[in-house]
Amino acid sequence: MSVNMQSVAQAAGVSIMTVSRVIHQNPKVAKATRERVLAELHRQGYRRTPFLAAWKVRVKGDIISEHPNVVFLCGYPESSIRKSPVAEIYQAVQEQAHSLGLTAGFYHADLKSRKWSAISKVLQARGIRGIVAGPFPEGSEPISLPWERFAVAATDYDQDLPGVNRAAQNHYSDIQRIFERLLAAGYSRPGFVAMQGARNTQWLGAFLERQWWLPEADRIPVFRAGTGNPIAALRSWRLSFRPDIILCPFGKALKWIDALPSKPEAPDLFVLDLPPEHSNDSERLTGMVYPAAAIGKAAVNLLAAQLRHYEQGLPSRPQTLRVEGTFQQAGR
Amino acid sequence: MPADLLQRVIKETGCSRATVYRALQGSSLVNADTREKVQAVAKRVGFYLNPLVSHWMARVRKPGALQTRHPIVYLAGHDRETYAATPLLSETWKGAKKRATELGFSIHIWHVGSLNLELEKIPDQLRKKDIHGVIISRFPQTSPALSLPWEDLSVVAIGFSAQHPPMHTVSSHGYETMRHCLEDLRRRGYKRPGYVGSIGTETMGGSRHTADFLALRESFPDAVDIPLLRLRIEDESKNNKGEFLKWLQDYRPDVILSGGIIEYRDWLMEAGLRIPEDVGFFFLGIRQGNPVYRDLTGIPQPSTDLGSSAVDLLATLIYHGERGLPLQPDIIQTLVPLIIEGKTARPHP
Repeated sequence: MSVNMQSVAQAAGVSIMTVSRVIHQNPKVAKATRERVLAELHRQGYRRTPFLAAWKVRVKGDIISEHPNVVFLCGYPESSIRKSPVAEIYQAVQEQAHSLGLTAGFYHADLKSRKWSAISKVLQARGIRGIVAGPFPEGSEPISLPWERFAVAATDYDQDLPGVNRAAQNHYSDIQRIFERLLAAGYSRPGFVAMQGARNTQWLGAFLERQWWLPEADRIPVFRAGTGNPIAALRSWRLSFRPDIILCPFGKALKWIDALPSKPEAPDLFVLDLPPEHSNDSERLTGMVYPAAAIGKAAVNLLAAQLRHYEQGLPSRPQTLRVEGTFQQAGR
Repeated sequence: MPADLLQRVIKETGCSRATVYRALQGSSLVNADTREKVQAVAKRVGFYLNPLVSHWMARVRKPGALQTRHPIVYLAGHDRETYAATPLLSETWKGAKKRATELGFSIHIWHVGSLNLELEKIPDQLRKKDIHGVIISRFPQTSPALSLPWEDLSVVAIGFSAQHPPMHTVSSHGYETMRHCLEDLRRRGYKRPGYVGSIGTETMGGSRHTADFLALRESFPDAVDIPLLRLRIEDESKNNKGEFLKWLQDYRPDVILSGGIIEYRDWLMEAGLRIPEDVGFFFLGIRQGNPVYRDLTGIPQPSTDLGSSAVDLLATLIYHGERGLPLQPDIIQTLVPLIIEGKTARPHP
């Protein structure tokens, strides 16, 4: 027997429209009704045709349009992220969205002038179906939106949004690759400058794990900036432990290292999270380039999968998609 | 206009329309150089195929009855009997099956090592049955390397394995899982979590959860001085128990996390410590239903969710028309959200 909406609607005592809403996971249907209809669909042997279902979501949801139906939600204005890794993420989000038939726009969530409830109204009024969450300033009010209305994927760990699908760098396997390369190049005593923040602590965790496999005499304690002068502390750490190469994140820590006196001879430097665009500042450095474009692309893939499967709301099984960085060799 | 863009691709590459389409679909009928050339030009001029439409149309145009069910295969590395007897394996399969059915795929399990399926016959079988989506489940470490017609397949592996070439993989024990566990322990009032790894169950390159623990421990300022303890449990000549107890005495963690062996709990008790009054024990990887693990507080060995996530990732590859081994494999880590309340950690206040 073939299943049709009419027979399911009749058996469940609802309208055909309700059956359709249940299939498309529309939040308007009451939970009890949804369960009854789902049970009936199951009993009559309903199954989706994967490609058609995935295609229809775009036709029906009016997703094919020039107007954005996906936004890159960011705590900074678009003008301020130019030439930063965030701009690269956003560009990749736009490209990948386009290649999947979606249109991505930029939305600056200015929490100084708007509350989340107001932002939610704007996004809904614009017909936004999917959100790629970008970075927010530290200490921002956590992102709070009615998730039954939106599919969402986060980029990296630069916003307060637990329990969502996320694309981030694979710090763990990247550290394995970095060690392989450094050891092959003859280094034996890598040191590490530990900084705050989720990204930096994931580098640190991966470093400490990998370092454990080195001979005990070569396991240098990581450098942690205390309350005093970080440059003086870094200098004495370097003198006591004599690392032959220092792994350090791009940013403040790099400035400390630059400020160190040149005697004794400076150890080599391997910089983590190099900005992707080759600015004058980063070109002279050896290190690993932050995979901004791959992160943007992966986030859109996670988002598109949710839209395609009509899944709005926070996922029951949050997934983190990990992508690898790339090496940059430069003369220093 | 898409039609103009297509014309530009045809003109610039000198390929026929059919070749352009095949190349953009990643078909192995077009040789690799041409494929790359076409893909590069298409990207430059901004011509994209809609992956969903092109795959659906390929099905429609295929001679014979319209196949609406996209078949995918779940390659099981163990025989049927082992599956029936091992919940970890059978639950993972059940998760994959449920998710595939939800999404409308038809999924078949092929047990390698069972009567009619030898490893070398798999490529032939896949071709005959026109299957282009494969999930590779956990294989025994002793089984030989898989050799599949990768170019024709979208493939996702469950868990990491040295035997396979690098491919898209789903794994558990991600950062989110460890964060979830440590936040739970913090709510129970613990301040000095210590971690015991077991060499033998974790190897170099295979201990992501150790790295995740060390990353997240940074938010426990009272615990950063506790060194990582790793015991070589496969080496019986080692005094592992002595080393463990010395570490415990020297650094006094208030709760111990471990994903290795549950003997650590016995060692704590033999040393006269009360669990959870004196020290907590939080186990990562409880095998539910197995009496040995009864009363432990911790998280279950992930299984159902891993199977479901593998199907999600495979569906994305199929929808986007991505076949062949990736240069940059995607790795999906799935959160294990459930914490099993046993008797080895303090209750929540």
